[in-house]
Parts: sequence; C-alpha cells; structure tokens
Amino acid sequence: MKRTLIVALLVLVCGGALLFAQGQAEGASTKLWPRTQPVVTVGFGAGGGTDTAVRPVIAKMEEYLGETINVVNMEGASSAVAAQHVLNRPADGYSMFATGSAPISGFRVMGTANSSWTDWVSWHPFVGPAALIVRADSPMKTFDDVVAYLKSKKVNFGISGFGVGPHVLVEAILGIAGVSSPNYVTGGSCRNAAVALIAGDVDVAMSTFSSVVDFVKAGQLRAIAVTTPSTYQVDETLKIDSITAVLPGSENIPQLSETWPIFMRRDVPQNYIDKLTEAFLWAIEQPEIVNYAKKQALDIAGYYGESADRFLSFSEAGYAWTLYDAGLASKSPAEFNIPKLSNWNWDVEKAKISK
Amino acid sequence: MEDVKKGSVSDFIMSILLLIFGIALIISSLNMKVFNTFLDAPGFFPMLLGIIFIFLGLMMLFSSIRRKGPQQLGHVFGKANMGAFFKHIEFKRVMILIGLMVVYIFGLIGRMHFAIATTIYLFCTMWFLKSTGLVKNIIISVVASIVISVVFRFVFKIPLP
Amino acid sequence: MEAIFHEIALFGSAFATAFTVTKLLVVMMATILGIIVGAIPGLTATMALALLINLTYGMDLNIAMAFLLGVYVGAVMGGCYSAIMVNIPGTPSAAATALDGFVLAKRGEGGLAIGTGIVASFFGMLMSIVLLIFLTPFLYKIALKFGQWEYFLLSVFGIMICGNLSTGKDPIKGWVVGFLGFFTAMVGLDKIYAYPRFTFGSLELMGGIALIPALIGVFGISEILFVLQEKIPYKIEGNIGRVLPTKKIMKSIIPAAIRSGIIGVGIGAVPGAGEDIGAWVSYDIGKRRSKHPELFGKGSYEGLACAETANNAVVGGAMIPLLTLAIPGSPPAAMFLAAIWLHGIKPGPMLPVEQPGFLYRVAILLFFATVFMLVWGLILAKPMAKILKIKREILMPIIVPLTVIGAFAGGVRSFDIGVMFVFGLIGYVLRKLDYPMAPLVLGIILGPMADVSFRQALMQGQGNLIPLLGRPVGIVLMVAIVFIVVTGIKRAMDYSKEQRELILAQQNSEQSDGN
Repeated sequence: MKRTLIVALLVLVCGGALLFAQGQAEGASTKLWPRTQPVVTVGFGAGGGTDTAVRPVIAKMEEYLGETINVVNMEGASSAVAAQHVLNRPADGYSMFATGSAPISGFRVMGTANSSWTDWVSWHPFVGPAALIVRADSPMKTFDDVVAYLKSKKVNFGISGFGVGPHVLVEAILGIAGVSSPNYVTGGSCRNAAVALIAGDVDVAMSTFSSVVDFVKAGQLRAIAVTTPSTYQVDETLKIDSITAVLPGSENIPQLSETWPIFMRRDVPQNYIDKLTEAFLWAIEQPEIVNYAKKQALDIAGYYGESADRFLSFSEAGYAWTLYDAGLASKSPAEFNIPKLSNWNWDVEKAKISK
Repeated sequence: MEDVKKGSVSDFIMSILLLIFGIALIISSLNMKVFNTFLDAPGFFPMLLGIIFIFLGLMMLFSSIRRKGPQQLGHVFGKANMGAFFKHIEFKRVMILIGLMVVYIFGLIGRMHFAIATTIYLFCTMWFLKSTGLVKNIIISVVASIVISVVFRFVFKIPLP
Repeated sequence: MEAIFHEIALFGSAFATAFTVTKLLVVMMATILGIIVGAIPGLTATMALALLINLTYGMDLNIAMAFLLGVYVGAVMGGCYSAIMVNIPGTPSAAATALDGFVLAKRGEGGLAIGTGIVASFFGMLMSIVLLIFLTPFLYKIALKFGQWEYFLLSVFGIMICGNLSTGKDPIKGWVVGFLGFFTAMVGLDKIYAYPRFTFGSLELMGGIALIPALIGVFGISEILFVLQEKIPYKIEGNIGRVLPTKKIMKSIIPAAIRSGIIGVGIGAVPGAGEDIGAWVSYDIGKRRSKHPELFGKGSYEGLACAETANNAVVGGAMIPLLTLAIPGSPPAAMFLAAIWLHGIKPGPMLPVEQPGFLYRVAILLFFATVFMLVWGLILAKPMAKILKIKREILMPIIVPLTVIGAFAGGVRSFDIGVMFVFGLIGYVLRKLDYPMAPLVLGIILGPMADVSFRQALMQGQGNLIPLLGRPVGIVLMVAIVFIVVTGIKRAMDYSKEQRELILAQQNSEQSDGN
C-alpha cells in the first residue's frame, strides 16, 4: 500500500516536472513576453469605472496577441499608488498601468506622484461624458434651476472623489457659471454618488454618465446636462442637453471628458509599443467592444501615439489649473510649466516629451 | 501562578506602550494637512484612534496596577528569569524556525526557481524538526514543491514569485 | 394576480436556462474548485474570483455566472475545513468558525464538526436564496437607509463585537488588537485627499498594507510558529469517524441556524459589510440567546453553526444590493459584479427590464451550487480531514510556501510577502501574550470603511454631527455599541478583580511560607 503510494507520487512528480519544463521551454519561442506574463496594474478597484473600461479591451488584445495579460487592481490615492508602483518597475515592457485621464492629469499638482503624460505612452479605448444629475422628483428641471439652487445656499453635492473627472468638470462648469464651490460629499465611486443622490443624502451630483445611465432611463434620476459637444440621444425618447448649449462659454468642457487609457513607460523597447498599438487598433474595431461601448453609454475614442499625447496634454492643462484654482492642489501648475488652457499650444507641449 | 504574574506585567508594559503610541498618534495626526475642515481632514480619524488607545491604555494600566503589575516587574525581568527565558528551548526553536523562514522568503525566493527554493526550505525545516527519516524527508520536500508549483502555475494560473 | 403569473413564468424560463447538463457540470466543477480554494490557507474567495474575472470573460454569460457563483459558494464554505482541522481560517469569514471548530477537532470530533459546518452552511445558503427571491424589493429599500454614518457605526460595531468575543475573559485585549487593525488600515495614502499617512516616505507603504498578505501572516504564519514551538506539537486524536451530524446536534443547532440565516442575509444586504462581520454578529447574538453560552468557544456545535450559517447566508444577501443598485454587498460579490458587468449586464433598476428573470437565474444557480456544496462538501470531508490530520511537523512547513504564494498572487509584488511575514511575527508575539488575532484582521478589513465613511458623513453634515444623530438606523447601532462597550468594560473589571484575588492569595501563601 505504502509502496504503491510512493510510486504513484513519483510518477505524478515526473509528469508534473515534464509539464513544467515544457511550459518553460514553450515560452522561449515567438512570444512578445517570453519571460513571464505581463501585468496591467489598474489604479482603481475591481468592478469600478476604470476597471470595467480597461478589462474588455485587454481581453481582446490578449486574443489578438495570443498571450495572457494579468490584470491586477491596486487602489489608492486616485491611482497614484499604482502609477508609482509601475514606474518603480524596470522598463522592460512587462508592466502596464491603467487609470483615468483625469487622475493622471492631477498627479503632479496634487503632489501624489511626480509623473505626468510625458512619462507614458498611452492607448485610449473609450471616452465617457459626465452628467449633472438630480432626483427625478426634484423641482430643478433646467441647468439654470440648478445654478440658482447652488447660489442660494451651501448645497451637498455628490461626486466620486476629489481630483477625478466629474469633480474637475463641476469646478470648471461652476467657474464659468460664476458659482462658488458647493459642499462636496465624496462617495468613493460614481455609482455610490448616484445612490447617495437617490437616498437623499445629497441634492445634486456630477457623475460619469455611463455609471448612472440606467438610473436615468428608469426614471429615478434626471440628467440636466452632459459634457458632450452636442445633444446626447440616449434612446428614441430620451435626449439630454449638451453643456455647451445651456452654458455660454463652455465650449472647452467636452474636451475635458474622461478617457481610461492603458499606459506603458515611454522608455520601453519600441517593439512592445508597436505590437500593442496593432493589438489595440484591432481590439477597438471588434463588434464586442463596439457593442459594449454602446451599452455602457461610452464612445470609442481610439487615441494612441500623438493623438493620445495631445489629448492628455490638453487634459492636464485643464485639470491642473482647475484643481489649483479650487484650492485643492498642493502645488501650482506653474511650477511644472503647465500652461493654462487659453495658452495651450500643442507644438510647445510636444517638445516636453523627453525621449 | 507564574502566568498570572506574567499577565499583569505584560499588561503593564502594554498599557505604557499604548499610552505612548496614542500620544504619538495624536501628535502626528495634528500635524497632517487640513484641506477643508478638520472634520474631514486625513488626520481626523488617526486622532480618534489615538484617543481610543489612550483610553484603552489607561484601563489596562489601572487593571494591571490593581493586580500589582509594576511590583512584579523586578521579578519577571530579573536576571534569573530572563536568563531562563533566553535559554528556553521554545525560544530557541522559534528563533530557528523564523530564521529558516527569513532565509527562504528574503534569501531564496526570487533568486532561484520557486520550486527549488521551496524544496530547500522544506527539507531544512523538516530536518530541523526531525519530522521523518531522511529519505522520506527528501521525497516529501521534492514532491510537495513540485506539486505546489505545477498546480498554481498551470491549474490556477497564478504567477509564482 | 397577473403580475404573480408573470413572475412564475419568468422563474420557469430562468429554470429552463439554468437546468442544462453543461451548466450543472460547470456549477459542480466550480463548486469543487471553490471548496478546494477555500480550504487552502492563503487563498480566499475574493482572490479566487478576482483571478477568474479574465477567464470567465471569454465564456458565455450563463456559463460564466454558473462558474463564478459555484466558486463563490464553495470557497466561503471551504474555509471551514482548515479553520476546524488546522486552526488557520482558509478565508477571513471562517475566523469565528475556528473558535469552536478547532476545539472540537482537537477533542477528536473533527469529522462531526466539519459535517455540522457544512450542513449549517447549506442551511444558510437555502435561507438566503429564499429571502433573495421574495424579499429583494423590501431589503433593498433598507439598504438605501444605510448612509455613510451607518457604515461607520457598523464597522465600529463589528470590531467591538469581534474583540469582545474572541478573547477569553478580557475584552480590552480584543479591542486593542481591533483598533490596531484600524491603525494598520490607515497606513498609506488617505482615500479622500490622497495625503500620505504613516508612510515614512516609503513608496511601498504609500500603497497601504494589503489585507490578504496581512491576513495570511496573522492567521497562517503565527499559527505555524505557535504549533511548532512545542517540541511535540499537538496531535489530532482518533479517527475522523462520523461526519453527518447526529440528530441531537441537529436539534440543538436548528434555532440558532434560523436566526443566523436571517442575520446573515441582513448583513449581506448592507453594501460593503460582508461575510466576516456576518459571522461575528451572528456568533455574538447566538451566544447571548443560547441556553449554553458557557460552551461557546469551548467546542459548541451551536456556536459553530451560528458562524457557518451566517457567513454563507451573506452570499445570498450580498446579491440583493448588487442586483438592485449595482453596489456589491461583500468583497467577493464585487468581483462577481465586475465579471457580469464585462458581459454587458448592468445590474440596477433597469435590470428587470433589460434582463427579465435575471434575479431568478442567479437564485437558481446559487441553489445548484448549494446542493453541490452540500454533497461534495460531505464527500470531501473525510479525505480533507485526513490530509489535514497528518503530522503537524510535516503539514505546517508545507503550508509556508502556500502562504507565500497567497500573499504574492493578489498584487504580484514581493513587498507583500514581506508584509505577510512581518504580520506573522506580530501575530505570534501578540498570541504569546494572549491577544486574539481575529479582531486585527477584521480591523484591517473595516478600517478604511470606518475612516472614509465617518469623514464623508461629516462632509454631508457640513461639519456638524447633530443631524447625523437623528438617523433611525444609526440610533439602533449606537445603542448596540454602547451596550457592548458597557458589558465589555464590566467583564474586563470582573476579570481584573479575579486576577487580583489570585495574586493576593498567592502573596499571602508566600508570606506564610516565609514565616
């Protein structure tokens, strides 16, 4: 009995060792990542907006490349923790990072991470507008009602967190409308902010539209305006005004809408960048991704290379100065030579890429 | 009886540590940046914790003084007792076990394949513990390391360190 | 009336979708996988689901759901094997199970303890599924009553209960450890303003101390050291013997199981609370209501059933806010949400319109997983118990590499292995001084919630506490906390008095010896 057990175990071990050796050997062939599996570190929790925007695209890219890409979540400090983590790893193409375009634009002025778009190459699959929302039974029906209400007293205003997309968009919009900052209540995620609105804990909220579109469709919430360039047609019956139509002078706001890019350090070997761009361009054309975007009320962005750099550079100018003007930044954007939106010029900014 | 004494002494020391820790927490949290109001500042909750630790520390201190903790200090930390403690077989065993883990975790892993590092660690530990005979020890170490590595790498698809 | 027929028709079609050979097989395999994952110290339900998200993305939605729910149900139950046989809870939710289960196993009743744990889990699952089907619309309204203030109170409540229960006589020790857990959770960048706290300039510490490595260290490494420090470690005596609980045990656990099932579902329905708190709250109430509270912690089948029923009942409960608000009720449920989200399913108010009968599909798959959990749990009980019964000198060293992998897998960074080791040492020292471990882990789990929700509640009150004090659910929780604090302090005083008398008696005898 004992002997058979030992023999059986030995067979198992030899088999296992063989399998193992084979697995290792196989790796050495034509893979983009021969040594081990690459890791994408998502700067927000599993199931959050960034996570769910990045994973489907990664999965499609895996399919194209025929390799496994691990996705791990590392929360904290609007993803600055994850950014630092990836920057501390070698530039060997095995580490990627994912966050929103808003957080990465705020890293330097918020003092959370000394990193900006110039350190990274990025691929942006989706762009998501944000919406100004109130309860469906609220007396506020138009943008002007909301402005009047916000002017009347210190209103509890729901956002997901400081320095992320919706917060900066509110600051920018209120700045143009000439209203001082409301009393922000952070919810941790856009979904939580919307639930706090339904529960009556806050009276107005700004949220990524994709996280609340179902509440709006179900008639629990009313969207007052969206940060799209033109009127947003949710379905046959439901149309939402663009912020540019209800607030004069807000033409730049839609360009500050958030994207959820995948990043890689700019100093990785070029073949990784090329291969990933190929996979990315293939992935965002796949019907699954297109349908996914439609369902989640996102638009396909498809920025990469220079278009991605240009977008992030503009974002940074908008975000950094809005945060600073709202008194939330710990450092001035001027320290980092970040221009104001009115002075922003791509030819000047382009030169900042150090490579 | 010895346990009761030790208990009151360890409570006494712990209570002092808690008081120091609580005060340190309050000081460092008051030094944290205030963004809007102090009530939602990063330092607010650590300060509350500091107050709680001071409160718990005082309760412990009170209880250990009632149990004559301070008076027992001399006895428990006396030369005779301390000497016995460090020579105690249990202390030695634990130190060696921890030493083996340190070598494994900080020395071996990452420098060689996980399965090899594990084999070495298992063999040494079981040899030290005199778990089984030499041959069986080798078999168990090798089998366990390989099974673990293969199962996690290929069945669960977890990256190994 | 018509509405009821409509619902029945939906239920029928959901049943038809779920009841296929492939899906049954998938659920079965997934449940077994979950049981094994749960049973291995170091691997938790949350981690298993997080790792499976990518794998299930390529599957058909229904298969993916069957797979994930099977793993979830299996893993929450599987934690009870290692908790009972080795005193290392496979998942944090099984920490309360270990209190009684391990005592029973040492006594040679490990088989029966596992059997009782499985039957109790089964019972908890059944209750949660029934409540999920019938009470979802009502319970979700209650979930809306939980604002930031209530989350804060709930997390404090959880720590106080856990600290109170897990120490033998001196609740203060439990509380100290629980609040140390809170402190541990403070390390890193603050969740609201991203301000670094207690990081001492270290980049690694800015990421905070991850729960899973700390958990594995505190439960795993410290137990390993604790057992192996003895020259001759304890042995699990006797044969495994009977696994199926006897009639007498069944009779004694049924009232406790019903109560715990309801508590579990209720806690599960509260977003963010999770299996761990569920088990502790139910254990506390069970102890207060039991006819034999003195046996709790000393090998009570009733206590075991309280913990195991509740932690599984949370699974069903956690689906309620998940399906109605898309806010997960527990950490593994968050992973499930992410996985179905990627399939284009958006839970929330539009779910019944966009995916009619989705709730029933989830309930039916959970039911299948539950049945397989019972059957396979009992089948695997004996072999598992046998494996976990082998000599401690061999078993314990083998667990060390498992803990290393478990710590590493979640975040793929070697810093976490170091965290695990350091927490193992802290855990060992604290245990030597008679401090319990469970509150430390619960503190790390609840710390961020307590911190962030308290400050968010104050933001909402615009810096004023008064409006918060009037919230009804909050009042209930505050009363409960005060009750626990008062009774706990009283217990601590009694303990101190008792010890004082022991010492005085001893001094007297020493003096009389001297004379």
